[in-house]
Amino acid sequence: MAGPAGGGQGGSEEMKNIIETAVPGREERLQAGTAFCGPCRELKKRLGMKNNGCLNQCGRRFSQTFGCQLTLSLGMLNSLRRTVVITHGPVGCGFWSLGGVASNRALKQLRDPGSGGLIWISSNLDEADVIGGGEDKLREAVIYADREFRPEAIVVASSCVPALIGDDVDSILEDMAASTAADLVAVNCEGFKTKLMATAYDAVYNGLLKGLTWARERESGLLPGRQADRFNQADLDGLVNVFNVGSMSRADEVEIERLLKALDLTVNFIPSYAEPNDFRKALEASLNVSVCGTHDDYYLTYVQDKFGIPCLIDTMPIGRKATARWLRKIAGHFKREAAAERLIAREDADLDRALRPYREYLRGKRAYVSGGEVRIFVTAEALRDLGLELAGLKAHHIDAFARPVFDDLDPGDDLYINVASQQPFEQANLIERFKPDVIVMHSGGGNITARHGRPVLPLFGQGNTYLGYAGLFEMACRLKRLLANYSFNRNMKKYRPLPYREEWYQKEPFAYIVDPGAGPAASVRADQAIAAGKETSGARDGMANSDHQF
Amino acid sequence: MNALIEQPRYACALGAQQSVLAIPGALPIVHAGPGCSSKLFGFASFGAGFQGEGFGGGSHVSSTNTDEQDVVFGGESKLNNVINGALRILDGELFVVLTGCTADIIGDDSLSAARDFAARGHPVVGVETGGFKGNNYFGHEEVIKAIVNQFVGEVEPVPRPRTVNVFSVLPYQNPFWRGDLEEIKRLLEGLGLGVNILFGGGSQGVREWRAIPHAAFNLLLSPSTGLETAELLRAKYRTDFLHYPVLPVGGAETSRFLREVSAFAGLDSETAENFIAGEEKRFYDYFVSLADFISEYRNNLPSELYLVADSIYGPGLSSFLVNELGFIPRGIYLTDAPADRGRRLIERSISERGGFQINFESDGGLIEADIRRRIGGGHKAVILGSSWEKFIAQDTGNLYLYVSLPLNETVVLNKTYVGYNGGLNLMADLYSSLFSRKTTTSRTQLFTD
Repeated sequence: MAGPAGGGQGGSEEMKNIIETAVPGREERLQAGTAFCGPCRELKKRLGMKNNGCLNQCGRRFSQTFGCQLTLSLGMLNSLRRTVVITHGPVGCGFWSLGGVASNRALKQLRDPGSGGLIWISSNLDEADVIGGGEDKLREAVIYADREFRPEAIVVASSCVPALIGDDVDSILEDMAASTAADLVAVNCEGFKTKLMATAYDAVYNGLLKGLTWARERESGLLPGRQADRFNQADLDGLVNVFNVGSMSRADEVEIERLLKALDLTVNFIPSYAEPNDFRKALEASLNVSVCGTHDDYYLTYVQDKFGIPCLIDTMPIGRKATARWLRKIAGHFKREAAAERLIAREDADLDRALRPYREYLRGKRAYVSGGEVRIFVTAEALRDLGLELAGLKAHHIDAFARPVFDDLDPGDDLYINVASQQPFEQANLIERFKPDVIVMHSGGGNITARHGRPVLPLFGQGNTYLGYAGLFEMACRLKRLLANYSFNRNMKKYRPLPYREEWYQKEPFAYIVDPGAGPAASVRADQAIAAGKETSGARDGMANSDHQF
Repeated sequence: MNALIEQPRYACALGAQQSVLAIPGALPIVHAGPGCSSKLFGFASFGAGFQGEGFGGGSHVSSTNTDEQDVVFGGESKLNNVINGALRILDGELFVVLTGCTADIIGDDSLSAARDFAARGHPVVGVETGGFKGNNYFGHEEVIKAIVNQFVGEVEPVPRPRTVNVFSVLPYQNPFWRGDLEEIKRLLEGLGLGVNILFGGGSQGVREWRAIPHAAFNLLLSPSTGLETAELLRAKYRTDFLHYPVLPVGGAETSRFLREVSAFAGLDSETAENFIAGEEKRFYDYFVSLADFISEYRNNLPSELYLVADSIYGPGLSSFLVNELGFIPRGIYLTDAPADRGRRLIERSISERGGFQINFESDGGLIEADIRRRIGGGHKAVILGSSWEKFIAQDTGNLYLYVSLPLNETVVLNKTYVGYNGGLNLMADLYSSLFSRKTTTSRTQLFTD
């Protein structure tokens, strides 16, 4: 079975320590990097070096806002049914919950028609709490949530302020556990802790493990011997946990379920839109399957070590190549290879026929793909399958989980890749250079991107299918429609240019990246570019050297 | 001291980055954690009727993205770098450094970083807006005061007759601020005034802010937010101000407002009366044209009013609905926690306008519980509020209209509920909502479920 990728993490003892204390940032745990801009061959070289070639040391001298791990944690936690989430911090910290006000109930009801909507509570810390501590307010909020709403679980997601003023949320919740009907979950996800939003996945799973998985374990009194029996039984039933992600729609889940049913498997989707009890059911499964390595190695590795449930962390089932690879790995675990091959052959044949007119239309168009590290590489491969070419790539961050899909894609040595969470100033510079015909973009970046005057296909969407074979077909249809008329975006560019000075477009896109780990070659290249002001490496005013005079 | 809060309706002080973005030519530089700026954009723009990033908001906002190293060693050098970069990369005329909780708690001297740049001739202003210090109404006023003190600065005023600076609704936090400010400007220009509207597309931007000291007077169109600004300008530039605490909605209030402004500014009363007469004629022509509808559907019309809005918007809206349209106020909730003197002023204004019960309540959960208890099984209510109130209206079979945040199921462009035009818009939206619940307009079916 494929183990988790990534360096750094060791066996169960180390894992247990990690869980008992707090989650380290992913720059530390996985040596993940957030700042890089250059050709793919250089990135490949860095990823092949020890500690990812110190990509985690890279930074920027100028930066724009992106999202903190609390932002993303709330994105995951707010989807849990029968759960109340308390944001522990000043009132502004909870505002990622906003997107849930209208859609949260509808999306939950897709899974459970009786489900209620979002309950949004903030401990609303103020200046007096910064001096005196916010622990009393937190206790009050937990009691209120328990008495008023009677949820199965109460999650406390902590922002920067409680961490800075020293609130011990874990201890408080431990003390309160006996006095609440709900299970209590502490998620320590203060934003300053990490440059990687994706650390949120670890922070959330850390909380769920402490608050739900362990609690269930105590309750059910599972012993190692009996666990083995249960899992053998489950193996016969073919129960598989598929770890859905926030960027998956219900329609994506339906497609995944269709494919796994064809292999005679039963699917349990966690953690998004699950309810607390689902995490108990999940311990009865015979295999944990990730749909994106960036999301859940922390939880899957722990559960594998602790409960002996094997896990599969490999690729993301988007596009034919990755979907087939993903299905083959799962089928291999259950010795159902023949069924998988039949399924893949049938789907391929159907798709080839259906895609013919779309391929003709899309052939040779150049795409720029931006989003999470795993998703962009498989999406890029899917786009090539549709006949498009790549104009450039942009990843939120980069670590070893990208390796299998990055190698699989083989994007070509000279293709530019930008590693950046948002940072639209770099993107603007790159898009002006590469002039793609279409931009495939993670949500939150779409509005900026529309102002480049080019058509934009969202990288994912709650109302659409992207995964599996159905997803590829739908992407083809939507791309064709987008390219047919993108007047709105053209007019955006015409009437409202982006807010960057003309001089910025003359500079190299990596001009503000600080890269202590870059080899001599890379430094020379950057220096030459900055000093020479050549057309291709453009910095005309020697910006890097004159910065301090400013 | 703040209590815990459910369903909050306002952001933290750093939310004032949106006030900066509302000034043409101005851009914020946020010295805070990596998610602060984007969350506040999410609240006050994306989740506020999709108002958009404007020229340089949303993901474009410069941010130091405070990390653990900055918390341990201080974030001042990073702030310097980011200000430096912003000045070179972004096409702004004025940069406002706003701090978040981390910077303020660890004690970064962010203001002197801004001061150093300003001393070297760069248009940079600094303001402390750590989220724990207050809400975005507080932050909004801090930003205005910082720009006045640090950017407009010590200027000998040369008063220009018949010009006015307007301080009113909160940009973005009021989803209709763009349309509202257009209408307010139109009304004041109708009196013959030159108007520095200061925020939004009708403003000349940074140039207009530089002209603040030279206005003949200031107009504060809000019960309490902006009062400190008006007092500051009086002390600094000796500019007197008219405090009109109720945002005018509809015919009666708008005419009363225009007359007071005209008298305060010492304008020619004939010009004012001519303008008012023309506007009123138009307004009441439309008003009367509703007669068919009102008479025919009298039995189906909602009669009970619930309203959830801030203290700038709520009193004027409810006064119009009660005094001009005949609604019975059942629950008026003002959500922005105004200071005590603001509350007293609002209560006095309401008692001058028929007098009805108003509640100062920021906790949306308590508001929801109260509305549900009062509505009971009734189907005669209209609820003006946010996306949260839509759920109450749907669950109880009543009507709703969007007027406050959070708002993520509607798109707002140039709509206004202020002035004569706002009153007309409100009537059209309110009565049209009657038909959105059913495919039929039969009066026997409208409220039977």
